[in-house]
Amino acid sequence: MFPDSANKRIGAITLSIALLTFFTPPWVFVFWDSVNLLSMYLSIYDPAIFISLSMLVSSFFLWRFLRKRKHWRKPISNDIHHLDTLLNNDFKTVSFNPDEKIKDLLAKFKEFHRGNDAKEIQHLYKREYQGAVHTFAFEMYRFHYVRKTTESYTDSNGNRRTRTRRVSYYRHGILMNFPFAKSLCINSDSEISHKGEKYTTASNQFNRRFKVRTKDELQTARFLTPAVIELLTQMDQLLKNLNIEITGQNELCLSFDDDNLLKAKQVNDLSNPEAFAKEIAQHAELKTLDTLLEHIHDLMRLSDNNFI
Amino acid sequence: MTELIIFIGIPVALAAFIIMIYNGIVGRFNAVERAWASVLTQERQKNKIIPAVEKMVEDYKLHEGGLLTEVTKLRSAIQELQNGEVNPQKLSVTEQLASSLLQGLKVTVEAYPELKASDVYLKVMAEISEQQEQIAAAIRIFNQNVEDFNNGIQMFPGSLVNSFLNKKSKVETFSDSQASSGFDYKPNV
Repeated sequence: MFPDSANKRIGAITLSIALLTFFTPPWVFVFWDSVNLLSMYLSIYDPAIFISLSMLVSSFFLWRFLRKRKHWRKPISNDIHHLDTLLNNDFKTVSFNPDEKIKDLLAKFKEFHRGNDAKEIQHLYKREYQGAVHTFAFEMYRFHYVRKTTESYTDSNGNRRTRTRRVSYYRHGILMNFPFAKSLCINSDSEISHKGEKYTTASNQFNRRFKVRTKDELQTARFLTPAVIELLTQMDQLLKNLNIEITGQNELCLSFDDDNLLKAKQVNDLSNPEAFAKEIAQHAELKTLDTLLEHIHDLMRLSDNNFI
Repeated sequence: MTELIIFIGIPVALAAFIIMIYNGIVGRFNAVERAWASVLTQERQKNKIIPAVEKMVEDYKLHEGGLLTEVTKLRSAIQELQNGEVNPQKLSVTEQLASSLLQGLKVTVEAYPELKASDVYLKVMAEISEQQEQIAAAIRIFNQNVEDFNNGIQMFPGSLVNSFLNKKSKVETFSDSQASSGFDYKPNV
C-alpha cells in the first residue's frame, strides 16, 4: 500500500513512541491529567466521551491528510511530464517581462487585440525546426485574455442591481520570421477585423473558410499559389480558428484555439512510479505540432525562389 | 395591410430569391474560369525552367535522346494554352510533354554523374517538382469549383433558374487521360 520509504518511516515513528513510553513511565499520569484538564475546559465531564470525540476529530483530519497526500501526485506528475515533453522536443523556456511583451505584441499584431480587460502572455517557449530545405527558429506562446461584461438583475427584494462578470479565454500560437510574405492577414476567426484590401483566391473552399486582407494585392497573389491555398486549407482542418498575420517586417503570428500542441499523451503518474519512469524515458511525441511545423516548412518551400 | 404584404411582399421576396440564385450561378461560373486561369498560369510557369534546361543541355552537351526537341514541343504547347478558353485536352497534352521531358532528363542525366550532383540540376529538379505540385493543386481547386458550379446548375431550385435565365451548361472536370488509361475500370458517369 505504501512505498518502502514510507513503511520505514511509519515503523520508526511507532518504535520511537514505544521506547519513549517505556523509558518515561509517568507519561500515564501526564496523559490522564491532560485529558481531565481538557475535558473540563471544554465542559465535557466524562473523559471517555472526550477521548471518543478526540479520536473522531483526529480520524477526520488524518483522513483529510491522507486524501490530500494521495492527490498531490497528480499535479506533480503532470508538471514532470510537461517538462519532459518540452525537453524531449528541444524546447527552452524564454524569460520575458510580461508588461513589455504584451505591449510589443499588441503593437505588432491585431491577434492580441482581444477582450476588454486583462491580457497576458502566460508562457513562451522557443525552438528551432530543421526541415529538408529551410531551418527556422520559432516561439510558442499561450495568450490569456479576459472579457468583462456588466449585467443588470433584480435581487430577492425586487431592487435592480448590476454585477460584473469576467470570463477568461486562451489563444495559442507561433511567432517567427517569415521572409517570403509581408503585410498580410489570413483569418478564419471572425472576432478580429483587419485593415487593408480584401483579396479572394481562385478556390471557393478557401474563400468560404478564410478572409484575406492585404496591403499589396500583387504580392499576395504571388504568395497564395494553388499549393499554398491547399496547404492553408489543410492547416485549417488541423487547427481551430486559425489566423495567420504577417507584419510589414516579415514577422509572422500563427494563432489558434487548440491547447494540446505542447501536450503529449500521458498514461501513468507517480502513483505507479516504475511505469511513470519508463514512460518518461521514452520520447514524448507531439504529433499535431510536428504536422504543423511540416506545413510551415512546406509554406516556406513553396514560397521561396529555387533559382536564388 | 395583409393583402398589401401578399401582393407586394411575396413577389418582391421571390424576385430577390431568384436574383440571389442567378448571381450565385454567375459567381460560381466566374470561379471556374478563375480557377482555370490559375491552372494555366501555373502551367506557364514551366517557361521559367525551359531556359535553365536549355542551358544545361548546352553546358553539358546533352544532345542525345532528343532533349532539345522535347523542350521545343513543350514551349509551343504552353504557348497554345489560351487564357479565356477552358480546354482540359490541351492542358493534358502539355502535361504529358512536361512529364516526357522530365523522364528524358532523368534518363540522360544518369550518364553524367557530375551534372547529377551539380547545383543547377538540383535546382531545376526542385523547381520542376514544385511546379508539378502547384499544377496538381490548381487542377484540384479547378475540379472543386467545377463541382460547385455543376451542383449549382443541376440542383433545384438552381436548375430551374439556370434553365430559364443563366442557360449555362455543365463544365467537365479535368481528368488525366494518361493516368486513367492504366485502369480497366471506367465509371459510368
